[in-house]
This record gives sequence, C-alpha cells and structure tokens, in this order.
Amino acid sequence: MNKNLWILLLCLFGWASSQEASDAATTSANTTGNKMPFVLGGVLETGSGVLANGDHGIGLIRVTPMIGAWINGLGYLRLGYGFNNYVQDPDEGEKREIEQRDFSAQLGISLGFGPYLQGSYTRAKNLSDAGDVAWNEYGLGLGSFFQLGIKSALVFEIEYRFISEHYDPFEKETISGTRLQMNIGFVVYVY
Amino acid sequence: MSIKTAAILGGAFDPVHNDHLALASTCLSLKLCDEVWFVPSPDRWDKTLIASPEERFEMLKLAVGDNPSFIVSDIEINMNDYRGSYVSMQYIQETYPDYHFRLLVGADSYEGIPHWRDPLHFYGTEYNGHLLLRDFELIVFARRGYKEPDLKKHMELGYAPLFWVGREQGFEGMISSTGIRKSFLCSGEKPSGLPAEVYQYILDHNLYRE
Repeated sequence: MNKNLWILLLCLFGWASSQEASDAATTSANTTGNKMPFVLGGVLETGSGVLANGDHGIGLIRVTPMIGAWINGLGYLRLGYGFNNYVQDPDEGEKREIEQRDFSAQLGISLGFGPYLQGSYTRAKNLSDAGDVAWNEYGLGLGSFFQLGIKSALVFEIEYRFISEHYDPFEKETISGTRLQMNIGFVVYVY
Repeated sequence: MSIKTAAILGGAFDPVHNDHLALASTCLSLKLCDEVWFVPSPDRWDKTLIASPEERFEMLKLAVGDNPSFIVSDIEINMNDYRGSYVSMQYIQETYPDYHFRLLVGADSYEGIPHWRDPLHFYGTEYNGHLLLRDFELIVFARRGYKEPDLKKHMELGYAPLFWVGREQGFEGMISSTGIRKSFLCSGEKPSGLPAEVYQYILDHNLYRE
C-alpha cells in the first residue's frame, strides 16, 4: 500500500470524526432504533512498522471478521477471528505456503457519540511447514464511529501496536517491535 | 573438564523394546554421543498410556542393565506436566550445563516437529517446534514407512545440524511398543523384540492384559 493511500485513509478518519462530533449534539443512541446492541462486521488493518509476515514497512496487516456488542455513547466489546492463506515466493529458496490465523479482542470506551478510545489484544499465528509461530500484539488507539444508516456504520481507527518477541523461521530472526495502524471497518446491527 | 555429548531418547516406553536398545547402541558406535539417556515421559495429554510412569521407568532400568553408557532418567517424570520436547530439552540443558544434548526422534515424528507446541501455555497455541529445530541438534532414526529427512532443506531453514541413523548405519526400526502390546493381548507369549527381564516384569505386574 503506498503512502498516498495511507494519507487518504487518515483524511477519511478525520472527516468521519468531525461529522460525528457535530452530529452528537442532536443525535442520541436511540436513533439506531435497535433493540439489542449486537453487531457483525469486519475490520481491515493496515499499518507501518512490523508487519504480520515479519517484514518492516507499510502494508496490509490482516482482515478480521468480528462480532460484538456496541452501545453508542458507552463503548463496545468486539471479538474477531481472521484467516488468510497466502504464498510467499522469495528470491532464493522454495515457495512458502502460510496459513495466517488471528484471534483478537477489542474494548472501546466512548468519548461522546462518535469518537472512542480503544485497547486491543491479538493472538496472531502463522502456520507453515517450516514451523508454526504464534505471538501477541497489544494496541492502544483512537477511533470514530460513523453512522451510515439505521443499522450500519463505518469505523475508522488509528492504533499503536506492540508486537511481542517471536522467532520467524522464514526470516531466520527474532521479530519484535511496534506498528502504527489504521483500521477501517464496518458494523451491522443484528437483532 | 570436557563436555560430554548425550543423546536424549524420550518417549512413552510403554513398554521399552529391543529397537530402543539397538538404536542407543548404534548411536554410541557411530560416535554420535557419549551416552544415551532414556527419558520416559509422564502421563501425557495426547495419548493414553497403559503402564504408569513408575512401571515404565522400572522396565527401562531392567532393560538397560548395567551398561554405563545407558542412563535412565526420571527427570521428565518429575516434571509432572508433559509440556512437550522443547520445554523438556531446555530444562535438561539448564539442569546439566556440562553436557551437550542431542535429541533422538523417529522419522515419523520428525515431519510433525514444526507443528509441536507447549500444550499448557496460551491454551495450547505456544508453538515451539521450530525453536526445538533451531536450538537442538537432532538424531533422526529410521521408522518403517517413513523416508529420510531432506537434510538440505533442513539446513536452508537455519535449523541445527541433523544426523541420520538408518539402514546404512546399521539400524532399521521394525519393532513398535503398540505391536508388543497387541501381541500380549492376542497370545500372552513373549513377543519377539521384548527383553526377557521386561517380559518377566510385565508378567509379574500383570500389565497389558486389557
């Protein structure tokens, strides 16, 4: 992913936050018209820093379908499980088939109707014939909820992630570090 | 003080048989190690064992006899919880820093090592097979129906050296503990490949009859 797209995502986030802040005075949680706060959705994570495949740089991290409970004006708890199979074709050596599996849990605390503070935990796994690897990621960030209609919304988040130390059998080195993430997602209320 | 090299032969040993002893002798004659340590596991989460850890330990002591190069160790039994080979090897290496340890594994097990994990950590998602391959030298021995590991690929992945013990080196793994237990169930006579002392112990303690 190039830097222009990164900047575009940042602008979108800012726009969404300002929209929600201006709406907050006239809107209440009841406008969603939902009887239950359960949501389904998905989040696309992009970032700069240590990526999920052990590389350093800018790129797509993962796509995570999620379920959760989301109460506007209060906060949310959401759980995600992402899965992705891909093949790495290095300049030297054989192709690498990798199964990526990630379990994540996020807790958000509302700062008004739209913006929220969030903390996240992800247990990430890269499974391959060279060696299965698992590690933890912890994140802190800011997000905003952008209502699209009665039952759906977009979410934009900026998050700082800490990646715990783990050995990558493909890179043949110990990986650890941080990553600045931008997450874009959607949620749909179900009841 | 010179550092001795010891090969760790772990497993259930339910019961120990002649291939275990032949393998150990072959490793010594090939000078892959100065000693072979037989390290029976405690009861395991991933397979049901018939004899108790104490019974399997006693059978091993009988089978090994007074060979000074064969050591029967209860170090893993005393760890109580079975946490897989990597944790055990780390613990053994820390406990005996004056030794250089190599791990003996069958060709059947070798293929699965990249997926091994510590079952009692992080809900069983603490994978450490790749760390075992990286940190400890392996002696892989032949098992019927399994091919020799690809040494070139093993080294390309940056793993520790690997030594092969197969037919060319004078060892051909033909006996299995499972086969011996089945033989007991069917006939009760002494199965081929079972040391006489161990056979007598099994009779005395009425093992492998159900």
